[in-house]
Amino acid sequence: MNVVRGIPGNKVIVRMADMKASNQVDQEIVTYSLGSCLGIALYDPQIKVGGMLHVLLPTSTIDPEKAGKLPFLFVNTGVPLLFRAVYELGAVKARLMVKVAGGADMQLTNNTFNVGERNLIALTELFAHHGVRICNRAVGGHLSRTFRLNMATGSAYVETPGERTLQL
Amino acid sequence: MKIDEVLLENTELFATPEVACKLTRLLKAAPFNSEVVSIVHYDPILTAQILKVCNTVIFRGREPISSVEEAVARLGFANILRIVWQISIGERMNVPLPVYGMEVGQLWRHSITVGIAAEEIRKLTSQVEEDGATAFTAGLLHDFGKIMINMSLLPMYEEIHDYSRSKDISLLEAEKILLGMDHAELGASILTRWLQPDSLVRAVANHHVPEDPSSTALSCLVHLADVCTHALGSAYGWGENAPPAIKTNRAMDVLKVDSSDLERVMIAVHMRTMEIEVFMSIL
Repeated sequence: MNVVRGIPGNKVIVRMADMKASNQVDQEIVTYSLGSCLGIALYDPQIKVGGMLHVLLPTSTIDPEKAGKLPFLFVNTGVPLLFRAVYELGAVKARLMVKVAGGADMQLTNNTFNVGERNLIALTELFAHHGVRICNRAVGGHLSRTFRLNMATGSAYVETPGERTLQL
Repeated sequence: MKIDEVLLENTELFATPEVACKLTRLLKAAPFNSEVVSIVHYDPILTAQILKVCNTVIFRGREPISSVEEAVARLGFANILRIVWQISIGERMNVPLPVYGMEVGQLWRHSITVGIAAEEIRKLTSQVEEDGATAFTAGLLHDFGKIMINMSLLPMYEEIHDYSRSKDISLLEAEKILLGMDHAELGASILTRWLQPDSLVRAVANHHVPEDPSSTALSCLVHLADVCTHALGSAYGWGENAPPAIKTNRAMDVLKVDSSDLERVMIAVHMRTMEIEVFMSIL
């Protein structure tokens, strides 16, 4: 359901707690309003396959039942499904470009409500465990981000109101 | 011009939403349905709007309702109050706020979301005296003062941003220095003019300062609802800073909630996205 096959169209929107994968070069995958949430984009430049995920929280341990129904709520349950979706479209792990945006409001203190930072730590640990390297990222700060992935080039763009667009 | 004068000049924007205010004052008294109905009937346009919302949104596809009596009986007072507030102030809040870098719809969506987050936090804490409907109302109205600030600062908003950048202070602090009142205090002063309960006024006034001795548990609740809503990516203004951990920690201590509780609130708010969309669409 999350894999967009053979349906051309310009914009594919990834909602909150949602994931989309595509092999359509005329498409752009986009997610809006990343606060402390994380947007994770994958792209295989050789076969032009990519995908994007918008997760809210680091781990499903706080609500395993929800994770069963809505795996894209959490880093630990959503990220593996994003990789699986692009592999199904033929992407190869060694070629994947991995870009990350979001994780706002990271507090540099322990023991507080710190979703932005905890999301990023959960993702970093998961990637370290599976030998995945993030090639570019735009994280932290106190801002809301829009994250776009151009399916023809693999270029990713981060937009913030009132600031210049960043290319990842 | 002083900010209070601007307030008085814009009587239309700041006119009292009579029915919503009267109903809110009744919250503590647990009124009879007939009292609620008679207050709502005072405003025929509002009455028609309530019936429209009930039939197109809430009871869609079921037996339609034809009167406010029926709406109150089926939904209960708290739900009617929520609908009345949203109808009464939605148009005033559904405006662009260039001073805060917000497009049309952003403040309104943010306000509804904070209201829902406040209601969800209220379910998790026994430290707040007020009920879920009051928590919702406080969340819904917490940034009402921003409309006012936006209006009075619009002609010079680039200067304000330069000022806050050059002094390395937040826009909130700049509001206070330049106008004598920040948006939280201004919102509270409008609610005072509307003769709203003191608990609501203080919750709005102190939603950025949960550590202040005059802050109540409800102020702390609105602060955390705002934090959770920002985490969900809603309505970050320009020149705002993240609240320091000390504020959030203080609010969490007062309400006796932890990080996992707030994460559950984020999930609960996400699960109610459809409800937010529905209210965005009725304006």
